[in-house]
Amino acid sequence: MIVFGMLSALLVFFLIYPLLGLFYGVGMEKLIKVLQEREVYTSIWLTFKLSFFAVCFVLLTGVPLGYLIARYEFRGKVLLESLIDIPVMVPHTAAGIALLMAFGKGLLGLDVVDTPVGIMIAMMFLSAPFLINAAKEGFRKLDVRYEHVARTLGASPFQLFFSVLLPQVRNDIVNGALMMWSRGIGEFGAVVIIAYHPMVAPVLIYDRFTSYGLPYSAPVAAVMISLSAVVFLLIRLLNGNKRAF
Amino acid sequence: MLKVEALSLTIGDFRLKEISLSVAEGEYCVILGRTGSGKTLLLESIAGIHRLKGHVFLKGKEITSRPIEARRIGFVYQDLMLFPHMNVEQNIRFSDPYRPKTADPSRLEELVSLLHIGNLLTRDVCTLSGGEKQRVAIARALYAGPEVLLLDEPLSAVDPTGRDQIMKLLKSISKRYHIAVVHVTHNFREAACLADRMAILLDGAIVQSGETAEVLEHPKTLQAARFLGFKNIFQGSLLGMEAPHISIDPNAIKLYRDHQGIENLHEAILLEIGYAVDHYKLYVDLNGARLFLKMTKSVFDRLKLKEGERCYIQINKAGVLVL
Repeated sequence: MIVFGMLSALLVFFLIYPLLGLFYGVGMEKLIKVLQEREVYTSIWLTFKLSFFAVCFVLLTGVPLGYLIARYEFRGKVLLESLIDIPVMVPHTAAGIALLMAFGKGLLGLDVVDTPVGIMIAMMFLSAPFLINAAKEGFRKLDVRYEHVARTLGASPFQLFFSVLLPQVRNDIVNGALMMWSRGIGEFGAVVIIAYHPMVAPVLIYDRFTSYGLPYSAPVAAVMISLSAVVFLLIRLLNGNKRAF
Repeated sequence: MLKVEALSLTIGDFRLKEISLSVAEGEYCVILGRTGSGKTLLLESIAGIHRLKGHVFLKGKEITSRPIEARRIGFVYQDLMLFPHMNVEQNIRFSDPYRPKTADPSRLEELVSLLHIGNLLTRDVCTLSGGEKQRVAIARALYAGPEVLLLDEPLSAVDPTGRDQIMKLLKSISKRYHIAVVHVTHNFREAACLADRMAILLDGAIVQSGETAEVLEHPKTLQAARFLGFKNIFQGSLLGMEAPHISIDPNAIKLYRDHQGIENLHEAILLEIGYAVDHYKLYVDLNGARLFLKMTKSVFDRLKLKEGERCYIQINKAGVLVL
């Protein structure tokens, strides 16, 4: 156990050290000052908001998809699962190019290039697999006989999905949604190709870094990380994980 | 009330073969079979979980293509499948929104009292014992107002001390609620205690069905007799009978050391002697057949038998069952 503890501590240090270095280098005063800049907070708000919308859309569509994959055998299932995982594997810039080629002329009458819609599409395309796979694994763990019993008690498949299945896979779905949301707010490669403007936080950090250098980009990065961490902890606490701290 | 006609179903390599069954209102039917004989699959097919060939009728109406939720058939699985995100009362009242006609507080009170679960209503189902879970699962199924109750090995999760109490309870349910109960198990004792009617399911086919005593005491086929643990199964020719197979009750065989002028004795060789607390288990060779019989300790001590010795046996014909 001591060896495990030491090895774990080594990894945790490796993960935390860059963050500590960032916050130490920026300092609290600069952090608060940057947070008051309109360009920064609107950019961060836009990032959080669009990633949240992407999560909402996939909750509505990807959770049923995860259920179908977990419960049913059908032709092309393996291919479908591979397709879902593709965005995780491809370079994000390549995904951005693909999205630009597919939706460059618009989607259902909506402009995509350099619009919030385009940003949301890019975020969703690259992060949806996290939520779909989490939901799929959650449903797969659940004994199908819960559904059979619920139906003998009068519930239709649609009704029992909400009353029996979703409450039991809630943690998997919340964790998947969190993973998707965090992956969305960190998305840069695809977003920068499909919509440089309006600037989401990762694009703003990159823009400031290339235009003005580290002293101007580091505080934005620190603010972004701090706010993301706060949202993460709040959601985990609300989901009943009392040991979040 | 429940009638199953020529039900067939194939899942993977396993097949339920042309099963027909009928259970009347208030009747308790036990289907006895080995593990893997298709008992659970049969219950699931009746409940509508699998698509099947054949017909299922409830109160004279065909329900074969009706969805599960519209059948009014309750199901209690071996693993009970209580919903872990709900407490005991929420589990029992799960059907309230879907079957408002049965959502009756007095029905809940009656079940709570019958099943002695009043003190459990607010408990988390994960904290219940096997017997408590069992009673909650039965209450949940009955509360939804079923016309047929299917029980899949319902006593397997209950410790032996609580079994008799739950068996008594189960036995009373069919008459009290005027429902047909179909209970599957591999346990003979459970089946004998509970069943009004019984069927033996082996390798996906019902090999015999009928009144409990008739099925348990007079198996009609070699397969059923072997499954029910009948001993000394031989070809009828062993005793000069024309029947293809016979089974001889070990208690119907008497063993003598000497001929003593008694009629109808068969010469045999004592092969093996086994001690079993209050009696001895003896194996003799009769014309090449290995015959099993029991002997009380006092008789055995008097005869002073030894393995390999010649002896004589007498078979009471009342103990010979023609298969």
